[in-house]
Amino acid sequence: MRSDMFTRLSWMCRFAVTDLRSRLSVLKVFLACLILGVTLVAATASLYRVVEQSLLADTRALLGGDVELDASQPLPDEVLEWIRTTGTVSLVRELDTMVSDQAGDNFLRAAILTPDAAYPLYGELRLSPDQPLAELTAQKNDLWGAVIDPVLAERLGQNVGDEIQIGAATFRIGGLIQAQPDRSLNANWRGLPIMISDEALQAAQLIGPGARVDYEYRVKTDRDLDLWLDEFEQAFPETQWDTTTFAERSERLAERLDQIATALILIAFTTLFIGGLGVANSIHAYLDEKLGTIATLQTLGLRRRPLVGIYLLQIGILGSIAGLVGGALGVGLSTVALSLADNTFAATESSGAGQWISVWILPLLLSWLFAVLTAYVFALPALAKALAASPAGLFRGKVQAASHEPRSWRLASYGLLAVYIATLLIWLPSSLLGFLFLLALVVLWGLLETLIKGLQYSARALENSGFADRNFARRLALANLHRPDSPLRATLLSLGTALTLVVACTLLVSTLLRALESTIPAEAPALILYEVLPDQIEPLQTGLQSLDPDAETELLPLVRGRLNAINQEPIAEVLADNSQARREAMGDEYKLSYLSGNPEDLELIAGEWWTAPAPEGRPAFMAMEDREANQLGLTVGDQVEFQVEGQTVPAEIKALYRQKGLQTRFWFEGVLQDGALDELIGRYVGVVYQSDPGAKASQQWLARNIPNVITLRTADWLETAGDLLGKATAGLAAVALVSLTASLLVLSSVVSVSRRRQLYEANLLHILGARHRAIRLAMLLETGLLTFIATLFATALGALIALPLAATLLKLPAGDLWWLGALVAAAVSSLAMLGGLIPTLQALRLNQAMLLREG
Amino acid sequence: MSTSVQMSGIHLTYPTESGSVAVLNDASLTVPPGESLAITGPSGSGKTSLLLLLSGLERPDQGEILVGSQKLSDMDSNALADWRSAHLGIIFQSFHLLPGLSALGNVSLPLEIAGQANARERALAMLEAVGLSHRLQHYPSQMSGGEQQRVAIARALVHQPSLLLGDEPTGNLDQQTGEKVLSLLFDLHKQSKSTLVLVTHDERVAERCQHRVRMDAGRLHAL
Repeated sequence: MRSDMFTRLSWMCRFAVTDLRSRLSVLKVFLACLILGVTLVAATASLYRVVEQSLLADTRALLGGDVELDASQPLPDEVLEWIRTTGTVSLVRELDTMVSDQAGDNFLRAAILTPDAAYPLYGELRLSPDQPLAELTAQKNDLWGAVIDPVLAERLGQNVGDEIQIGAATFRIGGLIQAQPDRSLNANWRGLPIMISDEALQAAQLIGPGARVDYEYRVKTDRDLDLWLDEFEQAFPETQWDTTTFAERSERLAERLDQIATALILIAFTTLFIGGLGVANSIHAYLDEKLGTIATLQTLGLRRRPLVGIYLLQIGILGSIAGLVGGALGVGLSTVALSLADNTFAATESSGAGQWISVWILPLLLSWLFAVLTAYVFALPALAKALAASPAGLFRGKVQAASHEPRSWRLASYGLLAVYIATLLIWLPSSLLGFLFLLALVVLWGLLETLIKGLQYSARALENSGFADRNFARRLALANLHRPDSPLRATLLSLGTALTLVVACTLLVSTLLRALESTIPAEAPALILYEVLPDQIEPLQTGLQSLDPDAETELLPLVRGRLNAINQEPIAEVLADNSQARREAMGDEYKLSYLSGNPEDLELIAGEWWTAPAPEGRPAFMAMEDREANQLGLTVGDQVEFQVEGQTVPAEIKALYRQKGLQTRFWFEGVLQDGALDELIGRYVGVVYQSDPGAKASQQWLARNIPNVITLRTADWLETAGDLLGKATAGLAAVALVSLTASLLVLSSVVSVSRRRQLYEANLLHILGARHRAIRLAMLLETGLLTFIATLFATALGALIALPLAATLLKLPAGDLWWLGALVAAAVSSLAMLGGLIPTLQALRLNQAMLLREG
Repeated sequence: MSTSVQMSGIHLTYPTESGSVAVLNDASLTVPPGESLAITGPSGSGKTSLLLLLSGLERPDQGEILVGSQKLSDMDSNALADWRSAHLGIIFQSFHLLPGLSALGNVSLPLEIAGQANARERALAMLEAVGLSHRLQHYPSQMSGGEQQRVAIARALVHQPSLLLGDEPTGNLDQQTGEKVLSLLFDLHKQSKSTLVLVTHDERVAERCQHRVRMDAGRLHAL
């Protein structure tokens, strides 16, 4: 009995493979579509795992400790003593400055770090050469050592042993930082790290009055962190230090990472979904050819169960091949992407078996699973109809698939779809985003169906209205939209969806590029200045003026204050119920300035700018940045109180403003009426309007003469931003390209079905008396109409996705660029559709005799 | 409107891999205007080739075809297309309706190709004449074989062609439906006074025609 079963199973498998191999060429689109979709899924999943493990594996190391306290001054002794009773403490002092090569030609912004002996509390600082930090930073031959970031060394054109200038001192590059456990992800923007000793910092004379130094205390403790925070707050209720635990950081990081990963994975699944349409078309064509085989097997006495088993097995085999090939390709792609990311995610180097499985094997297995599921979900309806074909057709000349799938199959399809969705939701890093995506998909599907119905109704109405009278080309084009089996749905779903992605990417990238370009014009400042002390204003202005008489320097006060009270209620009471929000609000420093002469293009969104100062004795008028106000629930008319250098500054919110994303240089959280901060101004920021060569000369002069002033050339910034944007664009373009390729494959299967129909119709029309030219025109019109609708659909939907994203995430307007999205969509869809039509026109041999010969 | 059909000394060969095959060998026939002719014969005897020649879709190697005063061999591809559009109606065994067009769309197609006015109205009248006024907006896939062939007949006659060609018009229909369709075809043929040439295997169909010829090995034999 068992041997019987084994023999039967073995025959089934052999037959399934033999039968599959005989027509594998028909299934090229099936395999290609699945492979493309799965490649993206595997690549994004693997990338996510690597980044997740790199960033979240040890957030203690990333934060530098269990708790971090950020302060602008050294912590009082009693605080340090309290902390020491709870665990170990380490201090890293950090300040921004300019660093130059020995010749003084290149100046770059850098973050100077002076870690104490206890650093790092977690993780490992890896240096090259592999020697202790103290040794590499020690003074030798009258030169202090500096250990610097390799990218910074490369940008400066210097190597280990070369000399660099920091402040008033010359340093020898003692070594390079190969891995820094708490390296900030923002380092590329804010300034790359240089580690020097405490004595060297004094020698560089960077810490003068007014210099801004961040004191970052990291604590390593065995205590419960929430308890630690509570006790710390109780011990020092007036605390004004920004305290963060690694768990909070980890949570925030994980949340953001999950959101980004989910968005990327969902784009990959959209591609897989588009590929699924190709699977459906392809399997339909394959099974059409197999109808005779299916009917013959039934007439030969094969029972239903093995018959179903054979074809389910075939789909499983195809799905598995595509899943494994796509999975391997995707994992390979993610490896390439990571190697291009300059080893930012160094944690992957330390590989254990568990990590290896999670990063490489798991994505591969998931790719296989989703490939097989996708194959079954999209192939089942066609398979059900084919298997329901009556073998009686063999006696009547032609076996035809059933018009509807049996109920049991339909239920099975729905069940499988539910499993698919559940697996997807469980697996996605952010189930909520995944659920929203699916919800959006259902809504979009509904909209699409409504649109299709509307278009078909309009096409039918237009056709019957007389628009197509005496013009059979119009009639055919319109009828093509509303006839049964119209390619409209398949075209919109495949090409339309991929084009939507292309349009959205185009709009986002072009918006960013335009923002970068609009920063370049002559009106934009060429040099940005930070950390200018009040007594340096005069020498700075005079110095820059003497270098470049055309240079125009504008300085603006920058006052850092902490929010003390809202509407006369202390902030600690306002946020009494939310300890994290309370600590954030109390620890955060607000950057405040004046409205007059502000070079930032602040956009008023609520209230109004004041024309006269507040009456004597009343709080000063101020405008607040919208994000800060929204976080605290503040609005126009509310009163706030800032604590600056021990003094209280009351203010009344008269307006809320929005900052312009990328083009914002100083990011002020609040601007006050002129004079309100006069007695509290400790430093200024500024902009210099001049040519870029002039800015370079100014930068060199400032570094030599007023070294504490941080300068940033717009051209440098643009280069860095352009570089990062270039990488992001390449990534987006690659994803869009894969998606588009999948859609073109689907389209090719749709077009090949249309081609048979078009050729048949062309022959018939010629027999009925239509001229060749008229027939070609009819085909062009039919294709043109579909192209137009796909373009319109993609432009509208792409803009609907990209414009809110640009407005909320990038804070950039993109609405006026809709035409660019439309142009790209029109170009791509025209190429795709005409590309499909040209072979049809070429194949148009007009062999009308065929019809009569075939009856 | 009717026309005479004259074929004289027609030779037609098809090239094949093993050399050329003579399909028609000195075939000649005449059909007076408004009358009907049935062509019978075994499979492969050249019946369909004869229809191809009569519709201008194939050119003879030798011989002359006159439809009315039109000499088909003198016309180029465009002229032949225009001639078919104005003067010819064809009914196929497998109907060959455009699947994307409704019954009304299919029937009005010849008129629209010819750029004639009131195409829809005339097609509507024609569909009424074939008893399908209740199926105007139905697609071919939504109709039975008999209905599809009635639409095909309506399409073949809607532009009042002078010559009507039929290639086994009832070959794909059951006997009862075939009878009905045939009656309809002959009724309409009489009304329209067109000249009818039918290729058929069916003796009962052939018996309804005024003239009959039999094809055998590329030659025509009057019966």
